[in-house]
Amino acid sequence: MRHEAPLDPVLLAELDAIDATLAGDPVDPAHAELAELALLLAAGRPQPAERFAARLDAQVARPAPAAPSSGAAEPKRKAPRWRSRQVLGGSLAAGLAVAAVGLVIVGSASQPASMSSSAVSTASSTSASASASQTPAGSADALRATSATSASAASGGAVSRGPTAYPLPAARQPGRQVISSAQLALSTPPTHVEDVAGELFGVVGSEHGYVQSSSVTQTGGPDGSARLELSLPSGNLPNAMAELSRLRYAHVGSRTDASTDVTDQAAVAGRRLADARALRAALLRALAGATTPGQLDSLRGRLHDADSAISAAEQQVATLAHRVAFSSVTVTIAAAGAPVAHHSSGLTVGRALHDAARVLSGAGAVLVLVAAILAGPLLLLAGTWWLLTRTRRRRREQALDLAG
Amino acid sequence: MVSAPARSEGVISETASAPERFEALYRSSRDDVYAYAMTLLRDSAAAEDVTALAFERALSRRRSFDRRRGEERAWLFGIARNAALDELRRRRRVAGWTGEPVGEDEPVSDAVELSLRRTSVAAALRSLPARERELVALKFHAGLRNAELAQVLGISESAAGTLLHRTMTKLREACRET
Repeated sequence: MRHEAPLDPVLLAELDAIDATLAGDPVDPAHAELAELALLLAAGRPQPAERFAARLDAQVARPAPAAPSSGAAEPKRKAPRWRSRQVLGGSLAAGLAVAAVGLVIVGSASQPASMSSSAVSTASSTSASASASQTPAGSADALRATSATSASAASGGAVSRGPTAYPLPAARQPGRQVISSAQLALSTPPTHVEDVAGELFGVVGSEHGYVQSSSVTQTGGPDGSARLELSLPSGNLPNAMAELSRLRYAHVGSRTDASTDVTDQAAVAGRRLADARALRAALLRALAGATTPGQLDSLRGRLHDADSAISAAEQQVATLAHRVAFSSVTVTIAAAGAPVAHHSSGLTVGRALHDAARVLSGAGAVLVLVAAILAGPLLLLAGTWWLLTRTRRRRREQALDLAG
Repeated sequence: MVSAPARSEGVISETASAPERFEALYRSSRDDVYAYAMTLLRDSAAAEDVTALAFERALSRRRSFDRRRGEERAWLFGIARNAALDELRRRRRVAGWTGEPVGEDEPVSDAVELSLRRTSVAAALRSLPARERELVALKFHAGLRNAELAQVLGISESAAGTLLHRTMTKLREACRET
């Protein structure tokens, strides 16, 4: 409130005299003239006609005291009902609409992290199978169709894929000797490195493979890691890889499948072994017919060499056979903040709370947007109403001045 | 000796229900609102219309009355003032005052001098601009206190007092001249 200077004491005294006069109280004789004027003005007060007074009394008394209408003359316009049920209902509907929009926004964005384990988008080993089945015309060389197809994983939120995200390698052509290998990079939350390794051991055991080597470092932090060299029966490799890609706490970062056709190598190794054995047999026959010490020594020396050659050839054949029979799989596990691959479909309290938080966050964002959108029109509305009120007041005052 | 006419103040109980409060306000203010409208508009028909309209609006808006914003009489006269000013805007003319307030009975035995003084005051009042005449109507015919006067006019109490004093000074000078 604006501070105003106090009234002049003389002025104040005269105003008090007027009030005292109207109240019937005695007044200082110095204000007699003023008091008389006040009395004369009060005495000239107009009185309503009795008929009008009676009619107005009847109009006021006719409806129930609580009724808004007072008779024949209806109010020219209804007072704004800011607290009406319509406003409340509208606000409630608006709130529900906002919540629905928030749910839609959250629902479209919250593709669950549980799908991330199947987020590997490209198939692997198809070219490996193709290479295994190819036989170049006229070529006597072993077909080394080493195909490495890397499947890059999508980050969290990728489109859901089913367990068949990893198509199985094409069946090997009968009679071909193929060495298969694979590399699998997994990520897991820092506290689950050891859990993933444990699950991995279980898969290997169920597929009748074995772990050649392993190194697990569980720190609980982002530097946790593990590296495992697995040897799995080649016939079980596709199934094993599928199982390894669906570990509960792991997310597949990448997968590489490779294959090498060693049929010719195996044939060469076999022929080498057969030749060595044939040579040994011939040397043994020659030794049986040797007559001189010199011949005996020479033959014995050559037999020793033949035995060595046989051993080497047998070793090579066995190695190739083992490598064909068992596939090497290298699995690396890295601790990361990647979403955990939950395969459970049930609703948990944690997931519900997480989703609820996202819904509330989305609804809050929508409310902020709505408020921002409505702020401009509301400000405009408020300004217009203020302007109209001011204009109407000014026009009334002007009417008073113009009335004269 | 002229004495101030008796006015019913109409004490409105704080515990009364809304209809009772409105009825009490009506009973205590009916004649005052008419007197104000009549003095300002100087037309009995227009004054009756404005009075009726003022109470109709007050009845329809009684739930919106906020005691924190002022007294009920000031609130009512704010409504009446708007109705009267709207009437002035609508008609844009000054109705001739009949000279004698309708319904007032003047004793036959009043002293001649008193009658002359009253006529002089009435003439001086007629000569005032509408804004000052309204001030006199609110103070002396409607019986508003200075604080209520200020609330109705939308000014400070000291400003209302200053305007009232100025108006009274003009009236005194006008009366002396007549």
